[in-house]
Amino acid sequence: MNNLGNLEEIILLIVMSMDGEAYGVSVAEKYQELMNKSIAIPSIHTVLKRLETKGFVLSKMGGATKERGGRQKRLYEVTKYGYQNLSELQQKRNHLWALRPNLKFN
Amino acid sequence: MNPSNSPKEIHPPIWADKFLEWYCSPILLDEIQGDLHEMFELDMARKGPRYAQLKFIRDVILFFRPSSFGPKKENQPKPTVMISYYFRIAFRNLLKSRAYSLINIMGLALGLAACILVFSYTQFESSYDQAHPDSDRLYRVNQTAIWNPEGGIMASTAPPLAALLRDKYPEIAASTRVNTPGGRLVRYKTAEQNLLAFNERDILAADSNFFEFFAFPLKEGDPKTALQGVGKVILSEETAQRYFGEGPALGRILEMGEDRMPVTVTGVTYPQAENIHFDFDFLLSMPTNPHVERFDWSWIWTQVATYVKLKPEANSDALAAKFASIGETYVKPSFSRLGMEYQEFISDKGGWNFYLQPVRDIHLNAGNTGNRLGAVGDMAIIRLLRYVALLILLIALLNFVNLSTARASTRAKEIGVKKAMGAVRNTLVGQFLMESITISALATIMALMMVRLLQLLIHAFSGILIPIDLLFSRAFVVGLLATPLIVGVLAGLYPAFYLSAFKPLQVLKGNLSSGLKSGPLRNVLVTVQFTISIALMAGTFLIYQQLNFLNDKDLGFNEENILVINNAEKLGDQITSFRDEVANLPNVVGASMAMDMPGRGMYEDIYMREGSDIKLPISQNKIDDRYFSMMGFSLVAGREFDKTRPADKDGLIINETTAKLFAWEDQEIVGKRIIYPGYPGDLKVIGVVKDFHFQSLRQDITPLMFFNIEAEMWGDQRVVSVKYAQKDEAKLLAQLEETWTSMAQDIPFDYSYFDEELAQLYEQERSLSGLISIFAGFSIFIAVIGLIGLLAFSAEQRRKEIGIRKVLGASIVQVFFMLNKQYLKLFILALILAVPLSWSSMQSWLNSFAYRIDISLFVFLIAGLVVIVMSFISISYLSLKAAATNPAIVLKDE
Repeated sequence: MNNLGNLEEIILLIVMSMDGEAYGVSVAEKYQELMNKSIAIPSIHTVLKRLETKGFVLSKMGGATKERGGRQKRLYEVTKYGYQNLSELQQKRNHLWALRPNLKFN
Repeated sequence: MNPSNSPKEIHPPIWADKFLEWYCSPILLDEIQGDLHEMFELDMARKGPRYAQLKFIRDVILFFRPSSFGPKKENQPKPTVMISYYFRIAFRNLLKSRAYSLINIMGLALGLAACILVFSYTQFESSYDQAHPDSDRLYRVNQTAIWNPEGGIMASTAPPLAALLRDKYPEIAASTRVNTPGGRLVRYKTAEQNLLAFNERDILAADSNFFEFFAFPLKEGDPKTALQGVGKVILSEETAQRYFGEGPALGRILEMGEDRMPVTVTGVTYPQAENIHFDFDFLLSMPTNPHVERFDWSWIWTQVATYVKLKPEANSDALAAKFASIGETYVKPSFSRLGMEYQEFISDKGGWNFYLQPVRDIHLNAGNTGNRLGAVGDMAIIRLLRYVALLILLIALLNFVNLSTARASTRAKEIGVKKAMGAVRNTLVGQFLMESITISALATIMALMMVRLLQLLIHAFSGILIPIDLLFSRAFVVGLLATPLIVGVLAGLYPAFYLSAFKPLQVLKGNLSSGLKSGPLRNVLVTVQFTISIALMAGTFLIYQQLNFLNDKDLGFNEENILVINNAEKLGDQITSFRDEVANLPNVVGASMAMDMPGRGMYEDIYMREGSDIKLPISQNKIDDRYFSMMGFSLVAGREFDKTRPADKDGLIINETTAKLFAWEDQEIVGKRIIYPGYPGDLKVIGVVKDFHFQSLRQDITPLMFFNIEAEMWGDQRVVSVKYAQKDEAKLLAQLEETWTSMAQDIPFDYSYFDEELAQLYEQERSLSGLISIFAGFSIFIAVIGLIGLLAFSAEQRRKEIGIRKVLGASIVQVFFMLNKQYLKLFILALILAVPLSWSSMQSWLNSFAYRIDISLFVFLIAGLVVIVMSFISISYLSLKAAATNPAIVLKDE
């Protein structure tokens, strides 16, 4: 199983949540909305490329819009493999959550 | 809002945008630039132009990294991936069009096999004398050819030279001599008291330091001492086996010659390497041949080959220059003992000079110097072979070019689709090159398998056995690995660029034919192929013609049905009774004795005529009174020898050439005297024989005269020749051998057929004709299969055209002619081009004969006709098939 970095995991989750509409700008927007923190487009591209080489996402060229000056976007969607990784990670998390004792913080 | 501040008006900084466009790969540009612009718009709306612009600039700079430079085009996989893909496609294409692949592979394989063999032959021929210790410092000493009236250089020298060179020239580290004592009868009495006797021909004698010079490793014996002292001999392995079987040879005693001189075996060689300029069955220690010591003072007893080993620092040219004084200082004084005048003897020959020739050069660069101890190679044949093998390869390469460009239209769709999908030209060139490399790799493998077959074929046709064991040298393996690359690129380069140049749009629309139909290059190449084929064919015909001419030429005597019994001098006094007894055998027409037979080399000496100082080198023979009638010579004046006239013992019969050169008129010749110093009688001409060819027809007729067999002239050798009625040889031979054994006891019976012997004079020519005919056959074969491929293809392409023509009333014959007439023109052009090509090279070959055929244009016509007819026969099936196709089948789809 490939290692999934923190940023990679979040972006992968974002890609999954966007149902085939994920590309550089939309991911960046979502990230900012979610994390309340801005992120540079080049960083997003790097992470998406890396996720693609790892086989977690697939990409294809998608529709052009007016804002982009008629340029195509590269649209990403999660692969089965990516999904399995994510859900496995999630199960482990859930498991750990379930194991937590009754925490009492003062 | 100020319109000028409207978001629509604000753009990302143009320079940053341009920078991005410059560095970013076109494939990635859309997504990157699109994202950045979209982001810019968003930022503009949210945080104003300044922030957006700064962020844009920052992002452009952040994107400036190798991953953005990327590949220039989409779908451009890595080269390594492509190679395996090319391979796969190449194989699929090979399998898809099998006939075409077979033609290419077969042709290339034949061409390569020819090249490999020729390479191997060249390799072997140039490997001569490389194995000797310090072979780079070994030289043979040559000298002025003093026996030749015009001088020149010969490889024979006199006994005192070796010691003189060693003692007087410090540059020379050592010297050795090899002498040729000539054939002997050798006897051996086995332990069971059986007597073995053989006529040994391959006998040499050498100084005791022989093994420091030449690489003949000994299986038995000590090379340091084996040749010291009198009566020592080293045998070749086969010879030792012949006498002693598997038993040890060392210390055994053989009896040599008529005086049964005992010689002790002191060594046996391993099987001798073929690539040394001499070999031997018997190698005697030098003192065993007493003549060498006896002529220790003589500079004209040129019966040895002298070799020197230079010191490492010595310069051979400088050393050879110092040899200039040897003549005056050492040779001249020895002439007083001979009673000859040195100046007079040497003046016509350009001085008594000595030369150094590297031993490694002897085999291939002997020139006219020759080799006293054995045969030499023929650089001309090697050159010819190289030339012809490359021509054959060229024909095969042209086949490849022709067929691939002709078949272009079948590939056009593939090329068009690939290009439309984004393949660039380099990718396609790579693919086509890979195909041709694959084909030549397969051809190379096939060539290797064919080499052995070809070797046998060449051996059968020409008698030349090309050694192929050298094939596994490192140079060869490297060459072999490089072959598919080189040949593949040579063959594939033009087709690759030609095919990859198609415009996808036109090709896919089907507008292909306009660019493809012309094929003028293809016509040129077909013409070149057939020019070569016809030239080789004509060459073959001319060589055969010349050979036939040599065989059929009237030599001036009758060589048929004559058996020659050699070594007849061993019969001693019984020779006459042997001759008479043989003459009385049934089936025998006549028997005669002589010193030797025509065609076997010459015994030459210098003679003067009376009343003039003309000196003439004249070949001589000794004959009995029956020789003329048996050989069928005709006399132009005088008579032949008569046993009843005792004075005929000193009689001479000269040939017409001698008479002419002595400036004698026909009527007055008989009775003239010829002077030979030291002859104890009066040599008088009794007859003149009509000129006949007693040497190879390469040479003109030179002076010759017959002595009486009884004459007191040097030359003890005798042969008895037997003329018989018809070729019932087995019985005759048995009777002859019986008669021989009854008189000669243990001396082996040795015979030959006279006509076969004469035919052997042209062995080299026969080899040559065999070789050329094989190669001519190859070239025609390759060219014809190429033609078949072309025709098959054009017939296929023109199916519809043929169908329409037939519907409109064309006959099969007309269609057949239409398909072939294009090639007919090319053939005629090829024929015209082949004439000068063949003519000039054959002319120079024929010029080496004194008697030769004239080249007639007819030969070229025949050669051209043969090639053309062969081609048409081969392609006629295809043409007829195409012409006979029912047009309904072809046209039903329209």
